Amino acid sequence: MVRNQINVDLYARNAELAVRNKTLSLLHKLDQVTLSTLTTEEMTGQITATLAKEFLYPFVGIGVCDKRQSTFEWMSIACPDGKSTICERRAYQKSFSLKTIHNACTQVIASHRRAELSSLHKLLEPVIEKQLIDEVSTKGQIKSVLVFPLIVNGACVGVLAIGLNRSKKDLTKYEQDTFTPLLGLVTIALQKAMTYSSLVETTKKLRVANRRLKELDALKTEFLSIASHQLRTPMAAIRGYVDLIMDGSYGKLSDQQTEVVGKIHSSVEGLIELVGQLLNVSRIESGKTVLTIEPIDIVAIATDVTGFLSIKATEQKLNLVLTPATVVPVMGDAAKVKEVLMNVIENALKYTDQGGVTVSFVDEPKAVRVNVTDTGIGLDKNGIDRLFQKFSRVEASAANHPGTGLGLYVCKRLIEAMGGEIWVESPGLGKGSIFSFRLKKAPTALQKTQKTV
Amino acid sequence: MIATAQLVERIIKEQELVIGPLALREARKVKGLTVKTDGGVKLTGSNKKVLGDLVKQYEKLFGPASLDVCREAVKALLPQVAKEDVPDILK
Repeated sequence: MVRNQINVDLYARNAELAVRNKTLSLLHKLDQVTLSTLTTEEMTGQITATLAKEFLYPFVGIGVCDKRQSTFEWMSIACPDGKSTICERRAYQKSFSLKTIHNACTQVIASHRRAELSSLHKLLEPVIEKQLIDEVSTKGQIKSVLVFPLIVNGACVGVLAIGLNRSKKDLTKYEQDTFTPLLGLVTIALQKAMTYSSLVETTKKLRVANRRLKELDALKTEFLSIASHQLRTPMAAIRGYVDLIMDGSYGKLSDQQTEVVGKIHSSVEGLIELVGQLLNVSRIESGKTVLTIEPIDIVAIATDVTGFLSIKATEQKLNLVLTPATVVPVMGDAAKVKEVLMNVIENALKYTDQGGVTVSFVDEPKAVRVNVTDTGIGLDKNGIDRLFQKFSRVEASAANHPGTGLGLYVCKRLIEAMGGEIWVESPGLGKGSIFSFRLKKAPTALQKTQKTV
Repeated sequence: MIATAQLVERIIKEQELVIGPLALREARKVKGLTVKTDGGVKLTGSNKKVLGDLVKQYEKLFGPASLDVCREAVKALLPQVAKEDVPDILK
């Protein structure tokens, strides 16, 4: 008697545990589906199939809302054997407006409350043919339909609908225990799938936009190159003739004429410089600039450049000083490094009214840093951030200091192509600037490589 | 319509979840019921009686809880079975 009672008690406990175990096992199965599938169609397909098979429900459906377009669409419908026509995608792959009044889905979505129906018709019409609805209803002996809203962050994103061959009160304990966690899991799965679908769509659009931008960029570069070449020839002719006029080849000029012709001359010089820079930029951006990277003596190059620009500095009554240093060779293209130094030091002289410019070197562990320090107009944070961008000019100075806004952009591209860095620092407006760039020290085994930028 | 054999298989399967191999052992004691090694069953004589006896076998040993398990096991399938084939104990 006692043994029997023990058996009975143990059985009852076991039975409860068995139900819980089944619930957990099902949820785990669905969890695996969530983890292993990405698209909404695939995920909802697997979930509905699993539920239909597990609980032998004659009908299981998941539908989602598209709030932007105010429509609802069935993503997946399943039955235990998967053979009814209604389970085929083409049978239900049609969306309908959320404003459709006599449809249970739209009512559940609007109210965020579950509904219990006596037949599938109110759920599935007008999207699915009446004949198909009758077929699955008869085959499955559907007596009731439960419709659950799927809610994410307070918004209803879809519904889970279950057709039963009995009434709701005849649900097993297993089913009742499973519904709540099941709904939560389905909601999360759906949210994940919808997020993924949205990401895929956005990525596609970005890819198209990116391709278009690249095409436009290539067109722009090509245009720049053609235009620059076309402009060079006539400007060279203009400069030539202006030089001849200034030389007196066409007769002596009055003071006024000299002044005017002088202005023409400097304008043409500026245009020629602009075209040259544009050509430089277009060559760099189209990958046509070839750099010869080899060990170079940066102090020697800097000495050359400062020597060349010392005349200009003297004309402006500025000091141009090179601090002597002994540093190891660095890896770079000598001609391009010279171009960079020329640009940076010329800039420094241009934007300095009094005092001067100093070129110095710092021996770092793996690189050599070159500093070009001036006592000029300085930069604020806004200016520093934009300085190395194309066509960027410091606003306050643009009117007084003509320029293309391309020089520093070209310097940056060239230095970076050589594996270096370039940057600027300034204590503030009116307090001068330090333009710096660093290039890596040459390895002990000297190497010469060619690189296309 | 589905066969009574399916109901029997379902009940045994559910009982296995609760009591393990004991479910098969007790099922084999029911007259008219042959349980194959693959889990399939063969009924001889009155299907309704065999089904009823199976349920009573479990109830005798494990009480009302086992009856609940049997009923829950076949709830989804009962609508598809002819009423005359369903023993009263399962209704």
